[in-house]
Amino acid sequence: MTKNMQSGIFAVIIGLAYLAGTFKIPVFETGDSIGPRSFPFLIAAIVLISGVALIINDLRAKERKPFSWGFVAHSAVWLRIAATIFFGIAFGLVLDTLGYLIAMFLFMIIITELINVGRHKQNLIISLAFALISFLSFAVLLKLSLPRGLLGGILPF
Amino acid sequence: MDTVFHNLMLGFDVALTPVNIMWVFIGGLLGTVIGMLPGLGPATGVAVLIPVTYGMNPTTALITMCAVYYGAMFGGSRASIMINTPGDASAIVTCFDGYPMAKKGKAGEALAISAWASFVGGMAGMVFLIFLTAPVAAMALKFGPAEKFSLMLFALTATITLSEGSILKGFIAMGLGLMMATIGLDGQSGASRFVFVEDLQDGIDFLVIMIGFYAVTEVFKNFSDIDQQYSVDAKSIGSVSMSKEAWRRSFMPWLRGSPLGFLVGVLPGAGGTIATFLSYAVEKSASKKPEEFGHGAVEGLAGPESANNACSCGALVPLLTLGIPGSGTAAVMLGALMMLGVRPGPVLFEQHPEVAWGVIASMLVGNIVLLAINLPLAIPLVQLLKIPQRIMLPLVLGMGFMGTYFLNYSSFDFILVSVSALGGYMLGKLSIPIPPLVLALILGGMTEQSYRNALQISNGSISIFYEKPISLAFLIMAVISLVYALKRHGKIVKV
Amino acid sequence: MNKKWTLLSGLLASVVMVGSAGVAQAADWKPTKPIELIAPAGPGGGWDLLARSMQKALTEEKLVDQPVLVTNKPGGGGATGWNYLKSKSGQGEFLAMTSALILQNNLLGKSDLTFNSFYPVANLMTEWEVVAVKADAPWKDGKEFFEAMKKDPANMHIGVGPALGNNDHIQFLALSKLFGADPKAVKFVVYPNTAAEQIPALLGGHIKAITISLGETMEQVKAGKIRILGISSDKRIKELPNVATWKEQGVDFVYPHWRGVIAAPGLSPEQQKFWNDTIGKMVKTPTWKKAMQNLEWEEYYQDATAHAKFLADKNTQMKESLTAVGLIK
Repeated sequence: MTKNMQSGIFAVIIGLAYLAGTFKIPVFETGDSIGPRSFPFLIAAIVLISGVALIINDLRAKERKPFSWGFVAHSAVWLRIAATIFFGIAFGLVLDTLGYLIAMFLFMIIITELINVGRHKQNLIISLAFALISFLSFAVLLKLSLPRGLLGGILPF
Repeated sequence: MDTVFHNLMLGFDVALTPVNIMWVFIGGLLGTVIGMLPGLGPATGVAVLIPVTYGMNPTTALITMCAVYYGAMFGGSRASIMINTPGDASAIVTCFDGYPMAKKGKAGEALAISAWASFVGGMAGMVFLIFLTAPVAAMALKFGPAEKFSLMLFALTATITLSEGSILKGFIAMGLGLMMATIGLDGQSGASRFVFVEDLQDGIDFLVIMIGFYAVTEVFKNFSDIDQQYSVDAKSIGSVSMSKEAWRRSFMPWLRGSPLGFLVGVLPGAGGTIATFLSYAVEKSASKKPEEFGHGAVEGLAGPESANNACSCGALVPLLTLGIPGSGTAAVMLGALMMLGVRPGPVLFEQHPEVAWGVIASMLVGNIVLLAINLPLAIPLVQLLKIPQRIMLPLVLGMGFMGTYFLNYSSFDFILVSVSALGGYMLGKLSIPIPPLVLALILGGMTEQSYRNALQISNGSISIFYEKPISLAFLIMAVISLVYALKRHGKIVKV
Repeated sequence: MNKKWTLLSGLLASVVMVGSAGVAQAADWKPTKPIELIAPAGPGGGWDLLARSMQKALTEEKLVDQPVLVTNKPGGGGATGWNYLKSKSGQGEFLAMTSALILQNNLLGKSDLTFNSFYPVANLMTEWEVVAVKADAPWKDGKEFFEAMKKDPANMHIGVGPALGNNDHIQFLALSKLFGADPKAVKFVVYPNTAAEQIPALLGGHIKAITISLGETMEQVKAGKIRILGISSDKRIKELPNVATWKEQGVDFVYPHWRGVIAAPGLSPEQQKFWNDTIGKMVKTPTWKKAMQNLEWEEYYQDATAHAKFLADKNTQMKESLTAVGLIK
């Protein structure tokens, strides 16, 4: 399938899902004559029309280059992306419990190991320095609130 | 006219005391640094200053906060140019041509162009602020929801027509952005819309998506060539001045961008994002070589940068004339000033002209100070390009996640930023343009609200959009920009 | 996933609580780690300013020996911040700012949390609500305005922000009812950026009136650009001696827009006493008085006992008025 074909199909699917969601929006009577559904309907219409037009366009095009995501050919890149997303989400889930310092250090050590492969000492220094410097400058110096977590009682600042 | 000069002299008396000059410098530097970090914008910069200002004389406090405010405007574009990570929504456009320039080894020149354009825009904006405040403020009052809706519609269509490739994909991108903007509790009726998980109740913060789409997606793109450095030769890195050609090509964009930015800034709730996107659209359509845009066109950098800084001056008009904040940053400033017992507004000019004009004069001084900070700052900044990718990328990720947390102090946003980064990467692979999506996400809420407010006021009749002349003018411009783009692309099928 | 974490942290907290309870009973309780003041909103708003005023007074008057931090937890009309406070059960170092919204969110079914999910420490300040029109508008008081409203509700658009269901909105609904206009016929225009959009819209003639906190309109009133039709206070206020209260205009409506402070649930009596005493001292300090004056806020102190009763009364009252205008069924 070509890029345009895939984009068109994607738009149609998203548009239909969104349209279905629009019908689920509750409508109250609060003197709001236009209502919360009207604008989403317009959006769904724009996306659906554009998606269908893109598909028709593509079917009539003379030159049609197939497009591949390269999940196999570039598996190393996709694996790194998947890992980054996984650990990014995990970072968020443990942040409040562990506290910023520990969570950021762990995240950085994993990410540096993922990208800067094999240089363990360098990675350790970068991760430690990044977590410490950012915490000191924002939480301590600028007094922005960062979760203190496990270390909450121990931190001298 | 005489009174203006008299007042201005009074202002300079206040602004040019050593203490105030020192604080302009400190504030400007702090603002620049904070503006550079993703997620930390001028609002955070001013907020962290609040405890510092407790002991200050109110004029000095206001001067310092203003310095942080436009310091962040300068700083916001540094990160756009260096690592394709806008520090603030109004620095998104700087990525379009600034980052390609940096990739071509002209990072120093790009930084210089942006600093000079910011300076010119800021200075022009101040001049407009001094002489045009009253008429412009009166004009802004005429701007109701119908006009606002049409302006946003114009900004959105102009951005679609800018994007390369298919216009249909531009519309899809815009639709996706608008869809994301409608997620959350509907302010008007309180109905919950598209809330799959409770954390989405407050909607999606566009800055989170912006960090995902720009900073993190850029890291993903670089995963394929981690071991490379930027293909920059060491010699050109050092050049941080503008070439003669760059000066020549910057001139007209300054002339167009500054007044445009100022006017947009005055309008309630419009802001730097619209100003920069519109200025970019203007430059691209005025250019004889539109194909250079997106690949390092000087005009695409100079116009929006001057518009952005002029816009931040314009945003002060409602604060100074009405005492109401025109932007999130201005709101934080207002809060901090109230704690000091000062209320900006019309009364301030009458009762304490030395405060009001002292601040205005200090902003003129501040612009010069910031230029003096930012030009030399480019020298250490460009050295960052020497850091190998395999070290730079983790740092960008770390800063991106840190900035995400500072936006809302919510760890749920980490999920959003990760997922949106993947989305941004895949949309890029499909050649679906990102700018219309981001702009639609930023403006979506306001667009819908003004659409509904306009219809509420007209009791449901859509004639309000074409019966008001300003609104009609924007609608016509939107149509023209679409027709123009269709003609240029010429590929569209007659459906 | 979220539930799991709350459960876990709840467990953790209760372990800590059991541990510290023994210590607390031995002597008077005192905070042992940095004190967090939670502003359930972003920087710059009323809650944030209140938290920062408290931070200033507590530190500068040396009422506590631990550092005082302000934590911004915006979201869910305050619910995000209050949920965070709830997760700190039994820990005396966490306080959050609150207002009538905590009752409203619960009554409107947006949140399970309400005033008795926490330990209400004190009520601190209040602002008053007003209805304002342009200075050259034909209406001089509430009566004239609502008479005009009865005749032509379709052309009397009222600006409200940031969302329907807030204090400002409820004030107007209640007033229309009391003045004999149909609350359901009112045409509200919603401005998410509140005063920043409402005031230009009013001055530009796009809407006929705004319902808003007094503080937001002060500048325009002083500059003679807008007129206030009535105020929700019990008596006339010092700064505006010419503005009549709703009560004087013949409708029984006193409506403070108050803000107070709550502590985490599950505190020991010693912890409760510490905060009740400390806040009691704080509101008498010159730093606090000055801060209130600068912000043009009226002091409205109630200690823990008085505040708890006030909250219970308000809750009943609000439930009635929300039901009357049809926001709850």
